[in-house]
Amino acid sequence: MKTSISKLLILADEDIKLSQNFAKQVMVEVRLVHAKKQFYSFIMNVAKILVTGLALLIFLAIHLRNLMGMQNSLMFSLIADQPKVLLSDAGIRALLEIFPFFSFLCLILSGYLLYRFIKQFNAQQIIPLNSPLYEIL
Amino acid sequence: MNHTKIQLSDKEIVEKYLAGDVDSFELLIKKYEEGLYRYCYRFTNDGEEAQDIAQQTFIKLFENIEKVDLDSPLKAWIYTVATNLCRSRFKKKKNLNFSEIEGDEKENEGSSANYFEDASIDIPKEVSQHELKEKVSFALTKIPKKYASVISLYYIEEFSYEEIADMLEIPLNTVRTHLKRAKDKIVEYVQEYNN
Repeated sequence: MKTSISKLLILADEDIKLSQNFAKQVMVEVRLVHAKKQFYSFIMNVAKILVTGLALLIFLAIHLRNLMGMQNSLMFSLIADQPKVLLSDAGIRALLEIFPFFSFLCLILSGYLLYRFIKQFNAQQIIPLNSPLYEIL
Repeated sequence: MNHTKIQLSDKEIVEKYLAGDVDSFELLIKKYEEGLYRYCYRFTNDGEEAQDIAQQTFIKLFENIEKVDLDSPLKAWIYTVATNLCRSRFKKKKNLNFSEIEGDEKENEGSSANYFEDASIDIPKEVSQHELKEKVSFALTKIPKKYASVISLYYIEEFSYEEIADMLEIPLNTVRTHLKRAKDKIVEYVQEYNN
């Protein structure tokens, strides 16, 4: 009698039975790993928001200081006395030279990053109360 | 069996998980648990250890699910991880080297191509199903693990030669030779057991 090997192997495998709640057991472990992942990403997001927020404040302070410095500059008083100078090429060029462009750029960039991180943080799933994360904590 | 009820493809399940449904991962477990457990059992001959390796495999899958290439078969990925876990356990225990007979297999490369045209074994009519099951189970515990893994992957999990070669990191002809030797060993053990 010819019997195919796959039939024989399937026959031999019939007695190898997995415990019925194996998937449930694995899911407990999986949820634990998931909770850890969520926890680390929560910490990372908070850290990113704090660092970017601090950078934003620093750049804001630098930019304001630069703007205040402009008030005392010769060009500023010139523009204030003769507003028509602004319309000339020389006036615009001079304004661009004294405008604190770099600090402004940093300020905008940090503001944009902060917005993105906060958005990302809000999009993150809220950890349910029955999550194993609370057991870890 | 549980996996017959799951109609979603692996890609759909993973996409569901990535969309935030953590529970959908259980579908993947249910789809592969039985086959994977049996495969690990063939390596370990120990139910608890096989279950432990299968569990570790699923956890590794979960940890790396964002990195897994959804366009290549997930089943092959799962069995590769399980094979590596079984190997590392064996290396710790017995220092087993899967490629230990690669040298003599190279000699057979030319002749191994047509070994599996007839993939059946001649069994005497008087042997009952129960007896046959016992004999094959006995043979499978006795054959070297490297043969058991190849024969399980080919005949039960229905992977191709190329996929098995990739998974076990052995040459294609070695896969063929392992299959041939596994079949011979099973016949040999079944006859020995009979005597």
